Order: sequence, then structure tokens, then C-alpha cells
Amino acid sequence: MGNIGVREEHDFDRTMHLAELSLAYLRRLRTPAIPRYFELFYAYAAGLNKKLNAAVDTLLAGDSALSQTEAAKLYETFVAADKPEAKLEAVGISLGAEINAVVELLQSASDSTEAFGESLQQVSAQLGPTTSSDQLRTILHTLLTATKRMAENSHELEQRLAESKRQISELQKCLEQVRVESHTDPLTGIPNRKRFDEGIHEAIEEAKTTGAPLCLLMIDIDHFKKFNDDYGHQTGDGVLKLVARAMKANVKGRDLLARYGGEEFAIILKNTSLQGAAILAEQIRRAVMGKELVRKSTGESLGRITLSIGVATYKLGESAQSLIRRADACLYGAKRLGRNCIKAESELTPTGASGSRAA
Amino acid sequence: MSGSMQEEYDYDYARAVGERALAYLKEYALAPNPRCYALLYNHTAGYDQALSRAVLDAVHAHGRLTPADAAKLCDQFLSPNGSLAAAQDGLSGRVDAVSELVDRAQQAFGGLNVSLRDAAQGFVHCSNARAAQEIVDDVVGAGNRVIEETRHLQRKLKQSRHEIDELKRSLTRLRERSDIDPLTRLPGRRLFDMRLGHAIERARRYKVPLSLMIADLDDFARYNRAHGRDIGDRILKAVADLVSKAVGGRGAVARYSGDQFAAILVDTRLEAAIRLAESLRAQVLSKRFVRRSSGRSVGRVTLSIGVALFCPGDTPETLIDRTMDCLRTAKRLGRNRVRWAASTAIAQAD
Repeated sequence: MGNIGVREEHDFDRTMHLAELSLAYLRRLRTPAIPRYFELFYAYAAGLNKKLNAAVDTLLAGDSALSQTEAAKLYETFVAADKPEAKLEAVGISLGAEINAVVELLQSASDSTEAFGESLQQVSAQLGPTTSSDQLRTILHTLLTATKRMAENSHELEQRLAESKRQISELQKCLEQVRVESHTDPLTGIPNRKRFDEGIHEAIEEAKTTGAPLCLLMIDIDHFKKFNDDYGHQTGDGVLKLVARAMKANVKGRDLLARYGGEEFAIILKNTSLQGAAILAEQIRRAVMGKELVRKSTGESLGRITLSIGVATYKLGESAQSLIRRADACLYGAKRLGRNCIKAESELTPTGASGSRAA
Repeated sequence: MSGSMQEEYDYDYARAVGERALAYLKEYALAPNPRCYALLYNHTAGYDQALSRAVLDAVHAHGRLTPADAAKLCDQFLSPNGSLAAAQDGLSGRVDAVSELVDRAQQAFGGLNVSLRDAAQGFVHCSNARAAQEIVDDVVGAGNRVIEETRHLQRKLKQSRHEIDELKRSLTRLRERSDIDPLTRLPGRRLFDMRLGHAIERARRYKVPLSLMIADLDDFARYNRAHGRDIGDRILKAVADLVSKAVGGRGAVARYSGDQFAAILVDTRLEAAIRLAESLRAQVLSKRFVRRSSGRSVGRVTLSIGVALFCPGDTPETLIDRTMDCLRTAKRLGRNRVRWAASTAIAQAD
């Protein structure tokens, strides 16, 4: 599939660019190019970890060399600590501590409840058929005091448990954040390929069960390589962000928009007919074409961005791979038709010739 | 000592390996992201025979290293992405479980509060002894039920804590993988420092003996100069293995720096530590290192070793300093020997 080769190449280009930047930094700072420090400066070159970049910039402003101790510390603080395993470990530690606190809390609450019960019974043992009303009043007073005190204890316990509950829901949020991060493309902020792979399987399962129509859009930015070559990778990144934003604005919450590869995107449309999907595809094509790319620093216009889009609908019983392949084939067809257009597959002609072309 | 005591990695060597790795990546048209770079770096440096074999097999099969193959090899030889997802799910499940248990605790004591309020009201309006006794029985009964529930919840919480400890351990292992030296497969300095801190804490708390040993390859730079990097690397690997075997279960070994190995010997008194160091020194001395190509010996390989006993008041820094002092003395006195310190004053005994 022609598209797949192109997709990989662009990933390769950008990654190679960052790799070369990283090695250049390592050379300049006389830091050994071991994998860990390569990763450190690769992340620095990618510029997506703001805290890392701020720290390295500060360090570089002063010296012209970076000791291995400093490099190791930077790695630990900004790269390793940012990794999901470090964050999850931190959650595990906090959760362990919270459990310890609650266990202790419950123990002391249990102890005081027991002590309360005992003292109450001791006092009430004084009660009998011969108890005078004065004696009764005194005993009742004692019982009441003890009960009120226990109620205070118990109330305090409830508050501390509520506090624990709050801490735990913070931890739940942390975990959720880690999960979301692992599913999000750091550059554009939309779901990543991993999420898409999960999503397409979920959507197919659902379509199998409900019988509702399911469509897939495969979207590719026209001449993306040229943008990178002509204007640099930073501009290329800007184009990706712009396109992602424009698409996001046109996609409903229940549809899944994802970055499929280097400059390729995909949209999973549940409960949508082929016709509806084609209409949305055209809408998106126009929305993106309507945006002019302007270089912020100089104000010069860098032209317009156009998309080629392939639209396919799920056939009952087919695999995710098959659906993707067919949508890809339509995308390839759109390119062949001259780009800046959408091509939806048709069931009428087996070779899938029909498509709509923009004027 | 070969002047590289402070810095762990050699700049020029790393640069040569890195450039070679990048060339491979270009040749295979494999995107040089950090994971793939690490894979090819380790392959180029020849650190891991199994890894290199796997890479070559994959290249042979497809004419290049495909992204799919690279991902598989990274999972196998670097750090697995799979167990992360498992740990994540496990933790998520535990957090939910604990949340539910705290909910139940809140409910139980909420219920108790209601009983206590009722009892208080009852006591205020109570007019006879029998009624009073009834109120007491009711509220004590409620209390007992809550105590029962509390015990049950505590059991469940402790169970969850146990499961979380398991998850934490696997996460720690995942995280620590990044500080494993690919050549010797030993942990590096960062991990070592952490472990030493823990070991000292333990020795302090339980008043058990603890010794530290640091072994340094004598005149190591010479091997690299005379016979080339691979011989040097092979010697390092062989010595690392010997150190690990000698220490065995007695403690943790690390590659402390370029040509230095450190070992934390827990529950070990100085005499035993000295014996261990001496035995190690003898083993390395008697080992013959030969060039594979010619069968000729590369000469004697010797260790200088410093050993120190943990003394009350020691911090990791002071203990390491004292051990290093012993090591320096061993070097000064002619190398290929062990020097130790029984107390905070260095002993010169032979």
C-alpha cells in the first residue's frame, strides 16, 4: 500500500531530525551518547516537555559543558519521573500510605467503641428494680455524657475517613491521567494510534451487536513532506496541530478522531451511514482548506492546507484490518483523483469508482 | 586508578557507538526514536549476545529491521511495555477496591452515629431503669456490630495493601531497568546509592553488621590502549561475573563507575568481608584472559579492593569515603591487594 510507505517515511524524517539534533547537543556538551542521555536530548529537541526544556535552557545559559552527574539528574527529574512507571509507582506508594492510615484509624475507632460499650455496661449494671429516681437521674447523666463523648469521637472519625476518601479519589484521578496520557498524541493532543487500535476493535464489536452502521475515514495531509522540506519541521508540526484542531471542531464527542501516523489521521464514526460519513468528510475537507497558514514571525502566507480523505463503511463480519485497508484504498483513490478531495467507496461498482470532487 | 572515577561513561567510545547505531538505523530506515536507538546502541556495542543475535536474525529475515520487529525486540531486551499496562490495571482495581472499603467504613460509623444520637435522646427522656437498660443494650449492640464490620474491613484493607506492594515491586523493577548497565548487567550508581541508603537504615535500626566493598581494576586503561575496547569490555564483564558470584546472596553488587564495582554486604562482619574480598582478589588474579583470535594471554588482571565496616553515625557518604580511602591506600601500596577499616580510623594491617 503506497500510503503506508509514505506514512513511515515522514515519521522517519521527523524522528531522524530530532535524533540528529540530540546527537549534536551531546557533541556540543561533551556528554556521552549513551541511550539515556540520547533520550534526554531527544526529548529536549522535541520540545514537548516544557519543564525539561526550561531546566536545560537554564543550565546551558551558564556553562558550555554538562557533567554526567548533571545529565543523570536531569534525566531522573524530568524524563524518568515523567514516565508512566514512575507515576504509577508514586500512586502505589501513596495508596499504601493511605491504607496504613485508614487501618490505624479503624483500629483506634474500634478500640474506643469497645471501651465505650464496656463502660456503658458497667454503669448500667448499677441499675436494678430498687434504683431510686435520684440514682436513676445520676446514672442517666453519666450514660449521656459517655454517649456524647463517643459521638464526638465517631464524628471525628467520619471526617478523617472522608479526608481519606478525598485522597483516594485524587489517586484515582492520577491513574486516569496516566491512562489518558498513554492514549494521547503529545503534539496534537488528540488520541494516538494506540487508542485508535483499541477504538476500532471496540466499534466493530458494538456494530456487530447492534447492527448499527459504522464508518471509517482515513485522512492524509496533501504534500506534507513539502511543508517540512520548504519550511522546516517546526512549521510541519504547526500544520499537524492546525489540522487536528480543525477536525476536532467538526467531530462529535462519540466519534473517535485519532492521529494514525505521521501525517495521517483517522475518524471512527459510529451509528453513521456511508452518506453521512461522506458529508462529514467533505465538511472537514472544506474547513481545513479554508484555513490559511501564516508564519507568525514574518506574517508571510505559507499557502493552504488540503486533505485527501477515504471513506469506507463496515461490512458485517469483516476484520478491523480489512476495514482499514478499504478506507486506505479509497484514500489512495482520492490522491489519484488529484488530491484535495474525498472518495467514498460505492457498493454499486466493485472497483469503487464513485467519489465526489471539489471544484 | 584510571582517572575516570567521577564520570561513568567514556565520551569518545559512546560517540563512536552512537554514530554507528545511527548509521544502522538509517540503513534499516528505522525511525531513531530513543527506544530503537537504545536497541541498536546495545547491539553495536556488542553488550548482549542474545540481543545481537536476535537483531541479526530479524534483519536476515526481512532484509532490514522492521518497526514491528524492533518493537518486539525492545520489549524483549529493554523494558517491556506489557507489564506496565498490567500494573496500571492492577493499581486501578486496587484503588477502586480501597475506595469501596472506605465507603463501607464511613457507612458503618455513620450508622453508629445515628444509634448514638438515638441513645442520647433516649437517655434524656428516659423515666425508668428498664428503659435505660434497653437503650444501653441497643447502643452497645450497635457498637459491637460496627466493631465486627471494622475488623472485616481491616482484613480486606491489609489484603489490598499486600497486593499493592506486589504491584509496587513490579513497577520499581520496571523503573529500575533504566539504570542497569547493559555491559555487565549490574545496577549502576544511582540504584546502588539508593540501596546503600536502605541497607544503612536497616543496619542502624536492627543493629546488625554491614560492610561495604569497592573493587577497582588495576590500570584498566592499559587494556583498552593495548588490546582494544572489546578486550576491555570482556574483562569488565568477566570480573563483574566473578564479583557477583563471590558476593552471592550476601548483598547487592553494582557497577559503581567505569572500572569499579561496589558491593553492599549485609549482616556481614568485617572479618567475613575481608575474607570475601581476598578470595575475590585471588580469583581474578588466577584467571587467564586470552585473545580469542590468537589464544595469547593479555596479561595479568588484578583488583585493588577497599573494605569498610559500617559504624554508628555513618551516612552513605562517610561509609563510601572511608572505603575509597582504603582503596586508594591499596593502590598506593602496590595494587593487587585488599585494605580495610574497622573503625572510623583507617587500619593499615596486612
